[in-house]
Amino acid sequence: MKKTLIYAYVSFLVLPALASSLTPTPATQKKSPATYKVAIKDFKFQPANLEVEVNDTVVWTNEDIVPHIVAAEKFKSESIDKGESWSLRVKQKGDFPYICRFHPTMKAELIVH
Amino acid sequence: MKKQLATLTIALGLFAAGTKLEAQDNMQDNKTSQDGMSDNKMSNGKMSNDKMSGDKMDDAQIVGIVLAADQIDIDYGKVALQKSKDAKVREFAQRMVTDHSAVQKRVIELAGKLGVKAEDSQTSTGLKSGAADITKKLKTLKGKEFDKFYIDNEVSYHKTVTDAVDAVLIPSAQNTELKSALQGAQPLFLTHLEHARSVQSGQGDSMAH
Repeated sequence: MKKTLIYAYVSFLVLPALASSLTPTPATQKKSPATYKVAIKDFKFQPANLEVEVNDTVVWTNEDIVPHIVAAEKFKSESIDKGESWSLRVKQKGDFPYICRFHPTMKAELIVH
Repeated sequence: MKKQLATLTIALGLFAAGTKLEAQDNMQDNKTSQDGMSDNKMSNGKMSNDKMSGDKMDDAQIVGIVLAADQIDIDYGKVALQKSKDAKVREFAQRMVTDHSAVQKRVIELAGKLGVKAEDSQTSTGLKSGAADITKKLKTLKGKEFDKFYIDNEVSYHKTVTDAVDAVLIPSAQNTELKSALQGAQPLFLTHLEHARSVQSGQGDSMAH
């Protein structure tokens, strides 16, 4: 009887624990990519500062009546007309200040973690 | 209301004629006035407070003023595109043509929707008359002299327009949609003013690609 109990203990408690200790698990749960929106409205990027993570997507939508261009050193949109959007999937970490290429006093920043 | 009209007269009177003098002054002493509100310049305006004091500004006249102001800056921009070789000045000029054309289109559409037909007033005719003088001057200049005169005038122009929109046109507008459209256009004028100042100060557009 004792032998049977010991066997059961090994089977149900020790072996699974041993097996799980041998299986590599990520230190943190991986977050699925998210999408963030930036409105271009009243000649401002709203929000002006946005923090995202690598592989997230940022969508800029022009709510003004004139075209805008999102421009940073590492990325640049085409002309975004009234009511249109442009999206960017971020691949690189860093701080990316950007402007409107047409209206360079419009400034904002994208921070990628 | 009289006080508001007087403010507009001062502001737009400068815009019509004083701006020209200001830009000329700037060429001579290399100083830039942001508001140009000196008595001397006011006295050179083509409109006086007396002329405006009897006017009652209605929505049709406001639309007339906005359309005139837009068209004037479009025309200045077209002259700059013909004459300037400076990349930053040309870019700014192109922006003025594109953006003010968009505003003009919107104002025309809105006026149509509201059943408001643009009307001339002493202010709008004064604007056009002053602009004709400035355009004539622009056409006589070339090179850096042209660029400086054009940009100095643009700074003065947008400062005057933003002040007038805030102090007079928005408060005077009767129709709420027209009032809202004027409020919506103000960020554009302010952005243009900042842009003009950055070109004027030589900063331009450092992140341009």
